[in-house]
Amino acid sequence: MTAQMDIPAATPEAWSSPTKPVRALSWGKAATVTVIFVGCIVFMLPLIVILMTALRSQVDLIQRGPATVPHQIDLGNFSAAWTGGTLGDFYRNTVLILVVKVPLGILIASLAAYPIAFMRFRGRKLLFVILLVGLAIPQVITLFPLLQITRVMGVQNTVWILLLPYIAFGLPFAILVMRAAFRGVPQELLEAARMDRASELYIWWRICMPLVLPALASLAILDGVATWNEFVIALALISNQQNYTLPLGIFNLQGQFSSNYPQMAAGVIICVLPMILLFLIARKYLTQGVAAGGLKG
Amino acid sequence: MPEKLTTTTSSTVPPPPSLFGRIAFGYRERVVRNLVPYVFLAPAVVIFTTFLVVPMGMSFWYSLTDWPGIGPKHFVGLDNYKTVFTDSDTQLALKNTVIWTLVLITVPTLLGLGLATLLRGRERWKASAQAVFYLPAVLPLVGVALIWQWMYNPQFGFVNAFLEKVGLGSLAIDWLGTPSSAVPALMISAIWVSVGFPMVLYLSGLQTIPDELYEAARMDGARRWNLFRHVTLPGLRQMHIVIIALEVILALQAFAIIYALTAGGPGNSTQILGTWMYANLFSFNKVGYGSAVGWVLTAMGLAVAIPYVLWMTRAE
Repeated sequence: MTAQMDIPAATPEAWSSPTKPVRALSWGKAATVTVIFVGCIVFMLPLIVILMTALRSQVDLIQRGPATVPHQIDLGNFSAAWTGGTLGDFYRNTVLILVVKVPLGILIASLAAYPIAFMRFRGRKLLFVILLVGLAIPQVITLFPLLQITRVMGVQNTVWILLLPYIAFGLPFAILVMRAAFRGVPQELLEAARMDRASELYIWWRICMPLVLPALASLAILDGVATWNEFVIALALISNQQNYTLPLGIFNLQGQFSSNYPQMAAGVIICVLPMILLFLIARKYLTQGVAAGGLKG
Repeated sequence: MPEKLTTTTSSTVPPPPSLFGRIAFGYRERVVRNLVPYVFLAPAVVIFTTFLVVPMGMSFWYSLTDWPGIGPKHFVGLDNYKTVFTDSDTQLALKNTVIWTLVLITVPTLLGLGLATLLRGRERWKASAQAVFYLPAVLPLVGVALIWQWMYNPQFGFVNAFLEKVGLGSLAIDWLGTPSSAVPALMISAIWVSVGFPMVLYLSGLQTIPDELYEAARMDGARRWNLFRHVTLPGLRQMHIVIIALEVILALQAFAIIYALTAGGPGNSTQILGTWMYANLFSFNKVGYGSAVGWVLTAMGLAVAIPYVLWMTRAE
């Protein structure tokens, strides 16, 4: 692949007497760029189509069809979807649960990852394995029991019913990432602090946590995306419309806007836009977090 | 003699590196020290147990009863599991789950590997293209489902409008409403979301292959395909295992996209075990039977996850 970088550096002499590899690679590069370019367009199509739909009036859509550019840009669909669908409430619920769940979940996970990374104790390996296997549990299997448990606990008819189940399902991945991050902390730092009789809690919070800030950022963003997008648990546990999270609310808009496609499309964009923006701003952290989840050992 | 002296003096300074034995503690202090890891783990373990392990146990208990979700439970042993393997609707859901999983391993892995190979490097256009292919992965699945529902809309959908524009109007059908096309249509939308994940992992795997290996192979006259076969693929061996295991786990957990696009219909033609379990529990009031369906699904996930996690933590 590095040879591709040689091409811009090629001097005019090189063009006049092209050596075989350069020519072969430049053809190869042209083919690559073409394939990737077409692929990108195909991949962006669904998003372009939904945006085009959201920006036009219903009449324009019906008259000219979806595979056209809007005759006139119409932003009214967004305000209609926002007020008509009470999306403001759904936004508030989702943001509320997110700003509590993400920090709390990461705190609990890093607290748990600390002894797994640094201490020797009975059952360490077994506990780590059990926590990680939690990655594979389909949420559907826990829904009915979760309803029973939350009923017994007396938590009902509030969006906070989601908090602890969300944390539970986020723990395996978060512990995996935090443990990997802690392992990059030099052992000598911990030894030195222990010599000074620092408590483990102090070492965890004041020495280890500041050193893994990039991992914490990656994890926070990934966890935020997961929480924003979560659907299954909310679907089962939340019944009252005023407690709907955004995905649940958007899902139920289907009935409300059944035939007003531009408003429906605007609602969908309102739901996905924060994730697109987050992605554009913090893509590096996101992909690093995903890659960290695939690390071995 | 001098050597002996040094050993004795050094033993008066801190003892060998053992995490707890560094300083001479009293018994009580040692007990407290030994409890520290468990205290750190307690919040995670309590939440994980209460909201994940206990519910699993409860649903396993349900699966051994004929519970309709309310009223008394009657123990029926393994009857529900026997029905799982005879009932034709469940058999279809099981078959769909297997096909779904196989397709959602093969296609995204191959596309992700191809894209990662082509997009390896730091040029700006490559970074932008990586972003394009990864973007769908961060969108809410409900949003994704509605986007594709709109694409497939029989009257105003882009897919049919496009077919008509290029003169293939005769091929236009109700993609999600026709049993034979609904499963492939769902798969396309799921593949759209799933390509980014293996691509990102493969890209991170490619970073671990030293450039010198490529240079050396090129010196020996290797061209694109040979470089790929003899340098890239072997260098990613470990990554293949990681990706395929995680893809199986994710594919088995699929729910939102199918539930929001077709809810298992038309008929039960797009039902997978996850949606079929949900339908039994929340639509048919068959909590006992639905839980058995769910446990078959969970067992499939565990069968992949347990060996994978053991392999992953083996290094210790």
